[in-house]
Amino acid sequence: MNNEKSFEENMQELDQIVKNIESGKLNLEDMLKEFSKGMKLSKYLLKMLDDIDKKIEMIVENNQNEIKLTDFEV
Amino acid sequence: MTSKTYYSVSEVTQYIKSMLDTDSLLSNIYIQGELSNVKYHYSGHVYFTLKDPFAVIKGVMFKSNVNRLPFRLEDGLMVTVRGYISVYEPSGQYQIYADAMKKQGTGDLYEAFELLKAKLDKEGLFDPSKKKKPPLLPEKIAVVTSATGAVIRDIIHVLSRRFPNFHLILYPVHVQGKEASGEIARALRVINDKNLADVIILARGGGSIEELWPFNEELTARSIYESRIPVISAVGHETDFTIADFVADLRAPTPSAAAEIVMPDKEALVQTITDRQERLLYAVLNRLMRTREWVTNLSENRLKMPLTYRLDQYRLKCDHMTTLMINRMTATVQEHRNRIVGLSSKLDALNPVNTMNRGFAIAVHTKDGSILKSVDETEPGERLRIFLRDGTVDSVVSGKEKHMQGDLYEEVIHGE
Repeated sequence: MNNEKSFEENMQELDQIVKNIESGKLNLEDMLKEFSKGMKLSKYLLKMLDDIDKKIEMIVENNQNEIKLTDFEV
Repeated sequence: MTSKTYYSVSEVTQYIKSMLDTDSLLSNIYIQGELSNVKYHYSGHVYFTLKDPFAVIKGVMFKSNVNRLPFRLEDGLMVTVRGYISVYEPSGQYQIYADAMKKQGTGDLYEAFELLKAKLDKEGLFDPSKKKKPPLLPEKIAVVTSATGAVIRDIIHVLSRRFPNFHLILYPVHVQGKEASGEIARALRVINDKNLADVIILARGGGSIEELWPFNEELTARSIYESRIPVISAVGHETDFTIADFVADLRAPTPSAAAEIVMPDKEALVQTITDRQERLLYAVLNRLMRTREWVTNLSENRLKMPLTYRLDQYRLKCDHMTTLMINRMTATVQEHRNRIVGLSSKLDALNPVNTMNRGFAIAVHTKDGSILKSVDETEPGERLRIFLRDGTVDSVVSGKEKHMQGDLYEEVIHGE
């Protein structure tokens, strides 16, 4: 799994795998390889959704123009 | 007082009306004042009162003139009204019949707006090919706006609804007044320099053209253009357009709409992904079934022994893979059943019982009921229970032979 890829790119790759398999043009072994890749990729995509931090922060600047992040209370 | 002449109310009113109507000053007059009691009547006419600290004049503007106005009349607006003064006889009131109206003191701002817009357009700052596409799933969202007020709250509210675990970084700035554009420019630069987010929302609630002015300043426009990180502008109401909107990579009609645009709906994404999983499973199972059928038909043609043997191997392989697929599918179905409402009915087709109706069997270890997935998991003499469509067969392993190996099947089982 390529962690550098964006969610969007991974999603496009998954769609391509689904299309490849549904086309019926792969031989049996390649199809199962693709299947395995597709299942891994879909699990990784679901993980990406959950991996985003739940955080609301605010930037605070001090007199020296230094930037700090603090929790923002709604 | 003997020869009194009496006049009717109408006659007096008529007389006053004619006095006013023939007065050269009143027949074409400009009046400055503050609008109040503005009422848009359903007929399209607008009724209002013009006032200053010491007096009021009632007024009306007819639909055809209202439609030509570039702005909406609102209480509190300082305006210059052109029209004539006359009497409305049924109520005995004099009023101004307005045919044109201008917001006071905004003429210069409109001109500055148009000049800057033309200049930046010529320089290519609005070039559609330069617009950057915001990411489908932003890990961090920077919001440049006031830390107080409804805007940040609205954005947080919408984000929470669409995607419970979002990461927002508020960069608080003044959104009106002289210092605002400098603060906005600095915020955009810092967010870019420190790579604080992968999308930026620049937002402000509604206001007068003067209040929205920082978003029409060149400094703001250029800092948006220079941002490497995509910027979504959300300034004022749907009808307000600022220079910032033209330069931004995307313009949202309101701050809430910006939040809708920036963050996808999480449930919808989960649904999309699990839908792809389902399609993968169906496609592969379908293919395995068809392949097995094909092999069975071939072998029934009584081919020569070596080939028949190979076909048997192939058929076993298909059976084996089908069982693996069913196990895998059952596991996946379990995994997602909790996640997706309504998915279960679609997946009934994958129920192992249905598969057994087609002649497939599942072998389990009698001792603990776990499914047998490989010949490696059993030894001659072990008791196995075989599940068929209509019951179980208890059996003892009398021998075994391993037919195939390979990472591929390992991968199917331990795919995660």
